[in-house]
Amino acid sequence: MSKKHMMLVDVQVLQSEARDRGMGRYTIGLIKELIDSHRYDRVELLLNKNMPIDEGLYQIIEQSFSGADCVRLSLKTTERSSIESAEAHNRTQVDNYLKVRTSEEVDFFIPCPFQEPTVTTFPTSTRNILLFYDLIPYLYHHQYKPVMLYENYLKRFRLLMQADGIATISKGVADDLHVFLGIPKEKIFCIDGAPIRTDHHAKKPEHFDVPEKYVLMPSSDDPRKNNLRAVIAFEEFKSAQSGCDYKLVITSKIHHREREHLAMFSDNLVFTGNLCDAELNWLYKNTDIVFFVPESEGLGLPVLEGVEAGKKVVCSSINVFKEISEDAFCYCDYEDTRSIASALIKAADGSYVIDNDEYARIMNYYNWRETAKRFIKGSDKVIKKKGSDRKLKIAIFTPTPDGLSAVGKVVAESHPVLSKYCTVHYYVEQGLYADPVRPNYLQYIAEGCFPAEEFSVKRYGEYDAVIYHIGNGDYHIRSVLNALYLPGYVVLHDTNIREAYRVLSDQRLIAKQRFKLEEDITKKIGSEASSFLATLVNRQLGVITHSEYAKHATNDILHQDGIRVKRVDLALSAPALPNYSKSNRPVIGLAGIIADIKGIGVIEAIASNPCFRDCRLKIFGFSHATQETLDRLNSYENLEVTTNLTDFNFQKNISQLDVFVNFRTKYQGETSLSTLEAMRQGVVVVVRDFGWYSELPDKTVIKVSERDEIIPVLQELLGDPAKKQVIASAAKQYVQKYHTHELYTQALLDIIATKGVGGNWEISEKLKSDRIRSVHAYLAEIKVSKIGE
Amino acid sequence: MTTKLDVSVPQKRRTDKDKILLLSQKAKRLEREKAILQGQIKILNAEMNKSKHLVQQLKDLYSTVDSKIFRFINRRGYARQSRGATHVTKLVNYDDKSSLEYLFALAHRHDVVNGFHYNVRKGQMKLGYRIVGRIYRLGRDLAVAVAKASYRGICTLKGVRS
Repeated sequence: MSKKHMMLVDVQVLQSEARDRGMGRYTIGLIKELIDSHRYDRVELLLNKNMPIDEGLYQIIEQSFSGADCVRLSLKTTERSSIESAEAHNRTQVDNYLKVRTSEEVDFFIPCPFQEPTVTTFPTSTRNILLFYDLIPYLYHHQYKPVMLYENYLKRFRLLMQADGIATISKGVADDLHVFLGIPKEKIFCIDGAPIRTDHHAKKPEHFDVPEKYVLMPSSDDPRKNNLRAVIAFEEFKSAQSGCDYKLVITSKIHHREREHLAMFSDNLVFTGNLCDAELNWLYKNTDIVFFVPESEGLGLPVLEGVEAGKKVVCSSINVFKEISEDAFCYCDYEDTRSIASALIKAADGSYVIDNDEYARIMNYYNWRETAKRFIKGSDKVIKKKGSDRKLKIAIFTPTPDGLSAVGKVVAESHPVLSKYCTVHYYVEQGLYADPVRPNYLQYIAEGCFPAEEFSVKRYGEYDAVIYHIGNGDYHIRSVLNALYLPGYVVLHDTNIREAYRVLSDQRLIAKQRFKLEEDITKKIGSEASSFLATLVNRQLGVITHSEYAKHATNDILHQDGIRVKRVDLALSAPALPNYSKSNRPVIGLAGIIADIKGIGVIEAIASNPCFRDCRLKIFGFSHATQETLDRLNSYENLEVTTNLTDFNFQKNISQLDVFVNFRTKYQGETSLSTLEAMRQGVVVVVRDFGWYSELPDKTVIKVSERDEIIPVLQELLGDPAKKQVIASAAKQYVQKYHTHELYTQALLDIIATKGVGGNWEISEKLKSDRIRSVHAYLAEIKVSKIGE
Repeated sequence: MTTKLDVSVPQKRRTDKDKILLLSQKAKRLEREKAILQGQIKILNAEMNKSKHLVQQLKDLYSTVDSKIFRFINRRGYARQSRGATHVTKLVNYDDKSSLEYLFALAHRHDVVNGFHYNVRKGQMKLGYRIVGRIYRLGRDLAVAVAKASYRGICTLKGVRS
C-alpha cells in the first residue's frame, strides 16, 4: 500500500506583522489554493506557540484554510535567541513531531524563509521545499545592510542549500539565484504568482482629498522603488503636456523625511499612507495610469493589479516585467527621467492603447489556481537528498569571497554544486588590503570556513584532498606557502605568480633569498609561458588549468612524475531569460579591472573616432588606473566611466553592451571572467588573438591580432546586426553548454579520484598517515637534510 | 525698387553657423545640467538612506571602533615573527653552475622548514595584552548594559514604553 502524502507548511509568517504585506498575502493565496487542489491527502499548518494568534489569523484559518489542520509547537524566534540556537531548537521540535508520522510521506514547505523574527528550519526526514521571493537585499547590499539584521539574513542562506527544491515567484528571481549564488537550475522551479487582493469592494478614501485626475504610483519607503526619479519624471511629463492637471498619488507609508525630499521636486504629489484593500481598489479603478518604475522587483504585483483593473501600465524595462509581457505595457529606462517621462506621455496622449487580448492572456496565466498547479508540477519533480553516503572531505584555499579578487566570488558560486558531492572546508585569505565589495555568505553556508593561517600539517591529514587556488597577488600568499610543502591540487588562475612571491618576501613569510632562488629557477628553466611557477607545480598531486595555454605552460616546466595536468573550463552560471537590456543606440564597452594593460587605449581610440559618434561608450569595473587616466577618460563626451560597482550593477552594465572590447596588451596565462560574463549575456566580445582568448571557438567571439583591426571590425559589426546576433547567440550557447559548475566539479572530482605514483604522492600519504610529524622527518623523506650546508 | 537685404548671404551663413554653435552649446549645457541633477539625485538618495537610519549608523560606528581596538590588541599582543628566518636563509646557498635539480632541492628544503616553523601562528597572546583585552571587553559590555538600562529608564519616564 502506498504511503499517504502529507504537506506540513510552516506558516509562522502569518503570526508576524508581515501577514498583511506582500509575502504574507502571497502565502495565504498559494496555500489556500494548494489545500483546495486536493493534491495532498492532508495539509498541516505549523504555528508557533510562543507567538500570538490574533483574531485576524483565526479568521484566515477559518475562511481560507478550512481544509487544513493546525499544529502548534514551541518554537524559538530571533527576539530572544540567536538564530543558530533557535534553528537547532526548532529542528528538534519539528523532528520530534514528525517521528510518529512514519506512515506518511511528508513534504515540508517554508513559504517565507527570511522573515524576522521567525526562525524556520527544515526537518531531517522530509522532502524540503521553500518559496523564494527575491535576492534584492543581497544584490542591493549597500542600501539594505544598514536597515535590516543583515548577518541573520545571510545566515538564512543555509536554507537555500538545505532545500531539495526552491520555488521562485518569477523567472528573473530564478536567474538571480542561479547567476549570483550558483544554485543549480535543476533545484529551482518558477511558479510565478497572482494579484493578491482578494476583496474587490471599492471605497473612496476619505482621509485625503482624492484629485480628479491622477496617476497612481503604488510604492513604498524603499530606495529601490526609485521614487525620486519617478517624481522628477512626472514633473517633466507635466511640463511637456499643456494644461495637464494630473496629480501623482503615491501609496503606502512613506517616511516623512522622504516625503519632504520628494515634495521639493514637485507640488503635485498626494501621499496616501497605508490604505485598506477597498480604498486601494477604488484608486486602481479610478486612475488613468498605473505608474511603477522600480529598479528591481521579485514579481511586480502592482503591474498585475494594473492589468486586473484594466488600466494602462507604465513600468520599468526590467526582466520581471518583460517576463509578464514583452509588449503589453509602456516600458521605460528607470535610470533615465526623460525615458520615464516619455513613457508617461505615451500613455496619457493615447498613442499607447491597451491590448485586451494580451491582458486576458496575462490574467489567465497569473492567477492562484495556475500558480498552485505550477507549484505542484514543480514540487513533484523535486528529489529528496540522500543523507547517508560518505562524501569526500576537501579543503579549499581561496581568496575571501567578499574581496576584490574574482576568484573568491567564483569559488563561492561553485559551492552549491560542489557541496552536493563533497564536504568542503574553506581556508580563506583576506589579502593585504581587505575591503569588502560584496556580502560574504559563504562563511555561513559552508560546513567549515577558517582563516588560511589556521591550516597546518595536522589539518592536512584530515582531508581527502586539498585544493589551492593560485593567482598572482596578495590574495594567494598562504595558498602558495602551503602548496609548497603540502602536496595538493593547484588551480592555476595565472601562469606568472611573481607578484605573489614578492608579497611573500615583503611580508617576511619567505626569505628574500628564496625569492631570488625562484627567480633563478625560472631563468634556468627558460620557459616564456610561465614565471615563478616551476617549484609550485612540481610539488603537487595534480594541476588544474583553465586553458590549453596554461596546460602547455605547466607541462613545459614539470620535472616530477605522477602529476596529472587537466584543463577545465572556468565555471559560471548563465541566465535563462533573454537579455532585455538593449537600447536603440549601440553601446560599446570595456569592463572588469580598469587598468592600462586591459586596453583602455583602444576605447579612447574609439571614443575619438567620428564614426562612433552615435555610440555610447562605457568603461566600468574596479579601478586600478591613475586619477590622471580617469580624468582623461572622463573628458570624452561620449564615454561613461563608472568605478567600484556592485556585482549586480556590474552585471547590469555588461548586459547593456552590444560589443565588449577586451584587447589586452599583455597576457599572463589568465582567463577573463568578464569576457565570459559578457558572453553569457549574449554580448559580442572582441578579443586579442592570443592565449586563452585564441582557444575560444571562432564563431563565439571576434578575434583580432592587432589594435588597428579593431575599428574596422567594429564598424562592420555595427553595420551588420544579423552577424552580431549570430555571434551573440553562439556565445551564449557556448557558455551555457561548456562553462558549467557541474562540468567543473566533475573534472575536479575526476582528477582527485585518479591516484598517481611518485614522490609527491608518497609524501602526501605519509603526511596523512602521520608518519611525517616533524620537519626532520620530512627532510629525511625528501633526502635534502644536508643540502646547501 | 530693390529689396535691401538686411544681411549679405555669407553673413547669413555665418549667422546660421552661429545658431548651430549656440544650439550645440546649449545642448551641451543642458547635458551638463542633467548630469549635475543626476548627481544630486544620487546624493539626495544617499542622504535619505543615511538620515533614516541614524541608530544603525551608530551601531556600525560602534562595531568599527570595537573591531579596530581588538585588531590592535591582537596584532600587538602576539609575538612578532622572527625577522628574516636566518637559518633558512643560510640554506639557500648556490651559484650559477648549480644544476636545476640542486636548485629545486634547495627550494624544497627551504619551503619545508619554512612551512613547519613559520607558517603557523603559535603561542598565546602576551600576558599584558591579554589583561588589557579582558579589561576592555568587561568595560565595554558594562557600558553598553548601563547605556541600554538608562535608555529604557528615559523611555519609561517619558511614557514611550510601558
